[in-house]
Amino acid sequence: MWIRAAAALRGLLALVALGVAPAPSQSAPDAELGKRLYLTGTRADGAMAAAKAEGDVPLGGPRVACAACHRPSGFGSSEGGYFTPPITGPILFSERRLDRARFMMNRFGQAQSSRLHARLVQPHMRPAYTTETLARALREGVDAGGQTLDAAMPRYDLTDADVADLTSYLHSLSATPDPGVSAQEIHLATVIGPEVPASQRAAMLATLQAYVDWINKGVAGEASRPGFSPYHRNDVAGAERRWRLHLWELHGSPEGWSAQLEDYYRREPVFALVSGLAKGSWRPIADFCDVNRLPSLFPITDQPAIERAGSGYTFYFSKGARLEAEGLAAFLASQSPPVRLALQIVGESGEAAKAADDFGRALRAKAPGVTLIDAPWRRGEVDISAAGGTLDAIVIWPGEAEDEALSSLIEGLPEKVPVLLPSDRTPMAMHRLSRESASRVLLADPYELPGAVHPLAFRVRAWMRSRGLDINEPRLQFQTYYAASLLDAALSRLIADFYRDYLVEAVESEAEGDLNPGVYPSLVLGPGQRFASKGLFVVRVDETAPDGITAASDWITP
Amino acid sequence: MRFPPCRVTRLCLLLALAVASAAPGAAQQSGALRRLANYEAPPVTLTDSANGRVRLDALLAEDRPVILQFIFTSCTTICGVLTSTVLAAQPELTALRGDYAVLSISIDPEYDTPERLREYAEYFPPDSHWRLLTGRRDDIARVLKAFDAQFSDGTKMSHQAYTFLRAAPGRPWLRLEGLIGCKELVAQYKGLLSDASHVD
Repeated sequence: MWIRAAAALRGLLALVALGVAPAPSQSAPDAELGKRLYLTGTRADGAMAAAKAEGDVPLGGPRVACAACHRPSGFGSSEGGYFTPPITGPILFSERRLDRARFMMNRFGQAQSSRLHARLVQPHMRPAYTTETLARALREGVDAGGQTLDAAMPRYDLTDADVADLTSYLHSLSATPDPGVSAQEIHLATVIGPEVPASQRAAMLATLQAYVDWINKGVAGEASRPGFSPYHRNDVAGAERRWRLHLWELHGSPEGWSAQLEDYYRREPVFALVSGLAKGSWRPIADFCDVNRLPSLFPITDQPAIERAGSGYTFYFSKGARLEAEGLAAFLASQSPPVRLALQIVGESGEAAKAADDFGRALRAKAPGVTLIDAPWRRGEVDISAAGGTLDAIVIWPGEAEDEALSSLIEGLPEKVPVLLPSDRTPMAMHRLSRESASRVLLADPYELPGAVHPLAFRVRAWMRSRGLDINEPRLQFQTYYAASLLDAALSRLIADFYRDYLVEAVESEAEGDLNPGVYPSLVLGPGQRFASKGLFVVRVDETAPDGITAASDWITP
Repeated sequence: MRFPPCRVTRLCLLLALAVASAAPGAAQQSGALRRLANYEAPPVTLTDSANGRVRLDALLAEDRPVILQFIFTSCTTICGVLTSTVLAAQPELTALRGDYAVLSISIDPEYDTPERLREYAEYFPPDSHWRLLTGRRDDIARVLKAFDAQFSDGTKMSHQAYTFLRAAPGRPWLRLEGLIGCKELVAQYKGLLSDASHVD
């Protein structure tokens, strides 16, 4: 209620300032309240809006929000044979016009049922909405042209003030294209942090640039033959843009990254970030993206900004180090006979402490009966006597410890007790440990197993070779290819509607398509999802296996 | 705009269909498509929202009516309506026969952990008949195949709004495709129970 009162007061003050007498009992529409109603279903009085779909089905929770189906961008969605039309300001408050470009993508760019296609080929024409006709649509399900809306569109119980607030917000919804796109180009950037190994930096940039060049050749080809196709291509030719890739290189400590990113952005705003590589936490970069509403597709990091990720603008391959900690905990919790006593050796870095926290929390939740003892590893020394019993497993979070120190530590641990390690120590386990020690090491492995067949992997490898790329960092290069190809697919969905929220929704939808080049068993997103791969294997060293490791578990999704 | 290669073929094939289906007088579909079919649940073990292990074939062999739907918790459109319909019809369904089961099986099992299923359930009225299930990706794929409910292009966004009803083990399933209201669901359920009692 206070929000409404404050809005009324603001409106009153504005009118007084203009020397206009306010109309009695009429407060000015508040676009912010309209936005809240649109995004969360919360009315001006703070209560959730009441609505029924399909005639008598009451909706509750977040499903009552307009954005649930029409999406935050307002460009709508299609799912399960139901087409939710766009309701952005320019579309809703204009007479409906047939738009062949949008029609082509909705009609042919997705697999949907005959119900949806029938709906698309019979569009209901209507005049522009007004506040009054919008109120009728929301309450009675009758559109601006007098036609009854689909029963899937909820009928709402809203006050006149709620409708006025919503109208005010909808006028501004996706009304101005987002920065980073000119008439000819889409500006993109990739972020590279300090201390990234030169070979990785070069491999990622070469792959990304090859993809950009490939896109631009295609765009140039289309532009060179206008009128080539009398059918659909002419309708969407105006949407073609060259990609222009900017390199945003960061220097110094993470505290200074935000200012550097803002400076890059001020000089040349980009429409999205693609791929990227930095040591340590990705949080400063993710925060920058959220502040600027800048989509960021699949940076290569093992420390994503997990909290608030669902409402953020950065998509990640996985939860990185936390996934490994929780996955190893789930693995230990599933052992038979059950693990009773486990030791956790924690290295000196903050990363190691964080992984130990995540592991401990997950293990306590999944296996409350396990006793977990922490043993700090300081200056090469660790005291494991605190465990005081027969250990069933030892988990090591080495942080930034040298491989040599880690291998020495493992060689000195009690014999035959399984030792669990994070995935980045796989080469150490394969090449530095004695056969006996290697045989008891178990490693997290969030990637696809060697030997698994992904048809696209062959095509992507051939694509790289045909462009003269050296494939010397295959995992990283395939990850980069996926980021670029998903951006490509998502941009194709936008046609010429260059809005970043719409891009985010397109990425959520397109990720599950046929773009996975095989670094991970599957890459899947959905509305509000930001981590495409959600599990891991536990593997062991196996000299007889072609790639030196073999699975010790099924796919675990903690 | 460049269509991905796999879609270009589909584009060409469907262009002719679009012209044909755009002919005047083509009626828009409304309501749910109804079909009786026999499905055999695979012997897979799923996990419910309380982390309990559940053999699906054993669950469906219990002597009670079943209403089964495929949903995913991050779905913002049809899944919430599907679930709401069954749960809102609880008083009428219970009045017809109190001992029935509602199963919501996730088609996004890696995201829909038991914890997330519990979060999803919080937005709906409590219903003791309702059980939310998730599982291994391969097992969920087997269940979808058993119920002829696979997605047309392998992505969950193209899943359909199915509601499957069965009066008792050994009886055929009624497959409803499309969103429906509570009244229609209750009518279909009532008809199914009535048919089963005549046979018995």
